[in-house]
Amino acid sequence: MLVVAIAFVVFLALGVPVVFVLGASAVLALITTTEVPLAIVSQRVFAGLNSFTLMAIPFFVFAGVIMDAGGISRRIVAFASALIGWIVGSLYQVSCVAAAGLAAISGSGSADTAAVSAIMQPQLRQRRYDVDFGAALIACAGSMAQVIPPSLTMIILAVVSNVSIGTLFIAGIVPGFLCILLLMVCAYVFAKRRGDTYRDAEPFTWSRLLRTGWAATPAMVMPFLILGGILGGAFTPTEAAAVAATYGLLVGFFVYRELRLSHLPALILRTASLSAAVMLIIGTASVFSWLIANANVPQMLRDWLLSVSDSPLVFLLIVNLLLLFVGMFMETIAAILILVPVLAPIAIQLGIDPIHFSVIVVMNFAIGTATPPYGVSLFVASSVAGRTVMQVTRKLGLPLIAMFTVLIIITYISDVPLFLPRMFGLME
Amino acid sequence: QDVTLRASHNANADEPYGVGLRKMDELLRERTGGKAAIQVFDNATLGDEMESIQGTQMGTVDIAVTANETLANFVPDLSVFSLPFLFADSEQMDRALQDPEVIAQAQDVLNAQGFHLITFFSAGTRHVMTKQPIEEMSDLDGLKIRTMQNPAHVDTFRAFGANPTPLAYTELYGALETGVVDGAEAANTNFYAQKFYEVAPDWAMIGWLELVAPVIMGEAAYQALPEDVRAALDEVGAEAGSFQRAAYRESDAAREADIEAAGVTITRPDIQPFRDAAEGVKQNYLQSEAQQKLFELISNVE
Amino acid sequence: MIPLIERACLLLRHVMSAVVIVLFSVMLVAVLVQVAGRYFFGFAISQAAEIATFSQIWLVLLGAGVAVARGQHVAIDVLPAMLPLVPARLALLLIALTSGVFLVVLAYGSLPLLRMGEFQTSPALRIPMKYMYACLPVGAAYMILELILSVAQRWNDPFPPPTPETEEEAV
Ligand code: NA
Ligand code: NA
Repeated sequence: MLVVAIAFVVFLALGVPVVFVLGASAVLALITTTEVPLAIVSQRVFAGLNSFTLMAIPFFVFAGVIMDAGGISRRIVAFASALIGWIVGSLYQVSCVAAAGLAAISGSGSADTAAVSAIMQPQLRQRRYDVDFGAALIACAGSMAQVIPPSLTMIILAVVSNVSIGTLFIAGIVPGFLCILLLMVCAYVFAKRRGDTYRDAEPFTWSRLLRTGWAATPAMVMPFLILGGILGGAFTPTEAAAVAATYGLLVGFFVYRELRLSHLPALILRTASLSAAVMLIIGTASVFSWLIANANVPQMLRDWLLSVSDSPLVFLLIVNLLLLFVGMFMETIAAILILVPVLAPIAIQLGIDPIHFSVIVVMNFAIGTATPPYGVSLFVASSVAGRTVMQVTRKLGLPLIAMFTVLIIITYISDVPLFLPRMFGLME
Repeated sequence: QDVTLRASHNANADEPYGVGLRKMDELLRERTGGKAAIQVFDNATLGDEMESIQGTQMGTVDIAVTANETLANFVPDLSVFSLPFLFADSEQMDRALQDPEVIAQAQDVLNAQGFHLITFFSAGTRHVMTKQPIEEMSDLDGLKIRTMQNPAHVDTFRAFGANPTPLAYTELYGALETGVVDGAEAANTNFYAQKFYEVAPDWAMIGWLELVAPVIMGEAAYQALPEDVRAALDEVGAEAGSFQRAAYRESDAAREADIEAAGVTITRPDIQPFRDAAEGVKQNYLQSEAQQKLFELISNVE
Repeated sequence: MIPLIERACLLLRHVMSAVVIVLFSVMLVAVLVQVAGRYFFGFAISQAAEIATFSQIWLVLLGAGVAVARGQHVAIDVLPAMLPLVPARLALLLIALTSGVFLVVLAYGSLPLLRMGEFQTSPALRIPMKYMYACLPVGAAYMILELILSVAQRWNDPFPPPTPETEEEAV
């Protein structure tokens, strides 16, 4: 087992793609610790992909790619700027609001971070804002695309722990927006303490708000189409994703008129290879997760945890610490596929609602994508800002406090995430 | 132990599959003086039904319990067991599934594809849940009813007048809740344990299918076992099968009481129209000689 | 000789890209047809979901090869990027080797599945599953080819610093 752990770290440090790190380490574990035939690798990879439900992933990725190419990110930033560009530290505030708006369309934290960074970083630099703090803030705000629906992470989590995707989506709304709100407070506190640079705000006008709001409306219809379609019983989540992608196409072609038929092959190819990269990780991580089940780890861990304490509060504390730690180093999808099958049954046994538990898991891994040493949102935000991960990390403290606060709130006040699903009658 | 057989199934530990496998384990340890045992992996932790079936061939799983519908994708002749109203009731099913001739024929069919039959478990009598009461067959007209992804099931519900809608089981609760489908077919156990009654509070007890679950190994893996273990497994397999089916019948009655207590509206429509509609479906699935023979043997059991 | 092989690979990449685009389109259309079937024609097209799912599996295995070509598989290459040229080349080879070993296992392990796929049929379309399992060896072989090609192309600059463009692509 030690050999496998060492190999895992060495492969990762060597720069082997995460998907192959998982695959190669699993093969090594298979050979050194079991007598199971290698065919299990192929079987699990196939099984990981043989899922109609997971097809929501490529469709939501496509919707995001299409909307971005169709000029939607720009329009959302303009609207956010009209909405909130008058507050102290306006560019930071605009970044947060824009990230929230895109989060309601995009299912991927890193895509959201990339889109907001690409537009906001040049402005931050130009107006002499602290670029490192900006990158840290955008990484955290962008990561909320995983908590605010639609969310690729939630889809994977729902499939793994067998909960309703629609209910989980709704449960993410309050925590996600709450986090954005606290990040805006952080930005305010940060900007307030500094000089005049941060007071150079744009005046608020109704006409600008209405004009930019009108331009962003076709995009803002999308979240309602997705959630309304799922809640209203028109579509399953997978179908909703396909409809959202089609809607994105129609908006790009006929409303914004920035898409051309000739763009389509490149955009589809981009979607396909992005989704393939994500989904192959699902495949290789499920080999790992099989190995763990095969070694009877879930049972042993359950016995151990329950011997420590049978209090749900203590269990959730342990889960948070464990997931935050794992989230620092590991890729989200892989971590979910490996850990959740172990932890979710224990949570249920302790009487924790599966939706509540899932929201906690998602929040932890959203934080994980913004923390070093491995965090895709952090990487993207730093890279687009042209700063090193180290430089940005130094400014991560304040935004992380906001994220941790939300994590603690949703862990111990289950009404915060569960209030909306209950209101919609999705759970008791 | 000399031999530990790893058994995979997709339900909770305390549901009938898990109970039956644990009984088999207990009997096997007893009968072999602790030489052989079965380690049960619940909740599809070693893979879903399709993967577990494959696993018996690849050596990743020793014993698999799966709905006959999944196994029939590997062994088409087994689709006989998925036919509507094949058995008179669960008692006749119990007798048929321990009838030596039926067992021998099923064993032949499975052997031909490299599988070995240990026994049959029961997966319950299937009824229909909906969001409005079904008093007679015509009430099903045009309703979107979720079925398994199985041609015989789809054809049957079409024959009942419904609009059969195969859907992933994991999406079912949400689909019922939001009205993507109007109902689904299921057994008392699933209906109660998965709390489907919260979103589909009407339960029409038509018993259109006795769902059977073959318990299988790979033939090669079975032949590789020590002879005394093989003999013990044959014996305890049959015993555990009888035990599991009896336990299921009992639990089924208990579940029905639970369902009633949960405030579900239970209806019992006249079965004859359903049986008549199902007759036409049967003929399409009795093509091969093996299928016809299996069907006859089962029908001949008193 | 080398350029010839490279040109053949690039041609193959174009073919694979085209196939992947078609697969995605089939997937999207199949799901839309399923929705439309349910609402406008009053019946469920049970084959549609299966066509879509099988397109997805092929899409992922072939698309993963395209992702190798486009450097879209997330990796942490902070450390190897700091290496001088010769050790960096060694790291490049080791990365390809590690990935390649896994892919060979993936292809080899699919042989029992392919054998079973001779007689196992899919639930809705009733077609032999070997046509689906075939995506594993085919996809693995294509990924290996792209890995080799990427080693050749990055030989003189194994770990170029990420540009915002490639970084965005990588997510
Ligand atoms: Na989102
Ligand atoms: Na991290």
